[in-house]
Amino acid sequence: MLSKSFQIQRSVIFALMMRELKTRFGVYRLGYVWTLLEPALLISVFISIRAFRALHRDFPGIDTPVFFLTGIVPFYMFKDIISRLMGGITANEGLFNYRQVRAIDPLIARFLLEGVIYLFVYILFWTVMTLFGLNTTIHDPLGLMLIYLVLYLFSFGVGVIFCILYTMYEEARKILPIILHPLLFISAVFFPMQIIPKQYWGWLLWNPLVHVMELSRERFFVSFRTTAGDPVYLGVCTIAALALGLSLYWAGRKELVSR
Amino acid sequence: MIELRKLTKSYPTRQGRKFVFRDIDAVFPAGKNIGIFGPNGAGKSTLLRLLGGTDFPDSGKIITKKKVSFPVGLRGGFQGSLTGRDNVKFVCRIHNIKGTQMQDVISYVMDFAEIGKYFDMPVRTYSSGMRARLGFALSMAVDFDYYLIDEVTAVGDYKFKEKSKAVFNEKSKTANLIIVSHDISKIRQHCEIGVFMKNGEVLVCEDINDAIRLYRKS
Repeated sequence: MLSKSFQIQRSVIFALMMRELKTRFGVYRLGYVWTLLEPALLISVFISIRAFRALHRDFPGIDTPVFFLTGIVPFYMFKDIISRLMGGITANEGLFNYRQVRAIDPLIARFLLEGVIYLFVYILFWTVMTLFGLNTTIHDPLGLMLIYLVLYLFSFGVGVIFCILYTMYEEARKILPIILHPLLFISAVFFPMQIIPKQYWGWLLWNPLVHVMELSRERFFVSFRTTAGDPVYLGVCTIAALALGLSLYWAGRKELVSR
Repeated sequence: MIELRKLTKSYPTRQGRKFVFRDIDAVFPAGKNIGIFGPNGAGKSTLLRLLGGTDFPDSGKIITKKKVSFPVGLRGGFQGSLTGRDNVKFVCRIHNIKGTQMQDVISYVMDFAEIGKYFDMPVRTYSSGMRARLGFALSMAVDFDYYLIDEVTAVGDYKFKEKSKAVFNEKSKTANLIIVSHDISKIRQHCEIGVFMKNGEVLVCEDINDAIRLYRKS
């Protein structure tokens, strides 16, 4: 019985992923170009601004583009997972006509798909930078993957929360850009926390993304040291986001598909 | 057999909770086609959605061991941005229909729905009649024990009605139909059991003619 329902869910999620591929990378849209272009543009803009180039000079052996890569691509993954999950239920309303499809299924499908896409984007950027002769040696690959995995799960939790809010109250759509845009500038995406005076740390460190950036860079670059990144805090935030998201989902799971 | 046990369903509205039905018990006997009718707003489509597992009761249970289809209605369970073909593939995948079987379903649906080149266009460009035909053809292409049909055949032209009559007769040999319709003659043609719904009551009549009499009186 259990294995059968697991098998059904697997085919539902596979079917939904195929469906998502059709619209995300559809014939008429340049979806896949944008996925690459947006981070690439941002990286090149940051490189071309001299002030940004100077931001991390205190760490020897870190190439500027690689530093930006470790900030921007994970940040975009976070941002995209949240915005994709938010609309995941309303965009698939017609498909809840089938009893096999539960409200969480399109969210899981989109989550998996974004994961694959951003893994590919990261590897692609990394490879290009390596070919250009930049120093892309990863100091602690396993540790790095673990931090990214935690970020991935954290994004899922936050995405589910936004999805439930948006599906219940449409106004929630307006909140998201208000939160996401400033987040790019306060999440240590293109600077290390070290350049920020200590008296401002208190506020900035509430943001789990700061911890992601700091901890992941410590694992990527051999010379990077962080006193800001706290793995325990990041873990607690991730568990809290997942718990809140999934309990909201559980409370509203019937209402979500029948509206 | 399908048993409804203490089934309650309500919807929140601005004027408070509106109960479609409260604590209803009913048994739909096995091996019989069932026709459901009643005035508009009696909860016929809601009942069909509950049977199809698309919607959930507030309390109570629907008990059956049979494979019940998804409800086929005018609104249709389709993703507007996908083509008819991709929607059909989606439904095949979630019912674990693969490979050549999937090809069979696709050609059956293309043949039955007769929507021509629209089959490869996004469903949102369809007329409501085309949607309904696609949904109907699709449900007939998948094997179920019970088919839930909501007013769909009413929208077809003469030829489509003849085809659906033939497929109903064919399906009745191996499966059963649960039809919601205002077309009494059609219900009488296909169904043995009549279910009359009004004001949150669900009356199951062993003889379809009893239910029709109740409906005419109401």
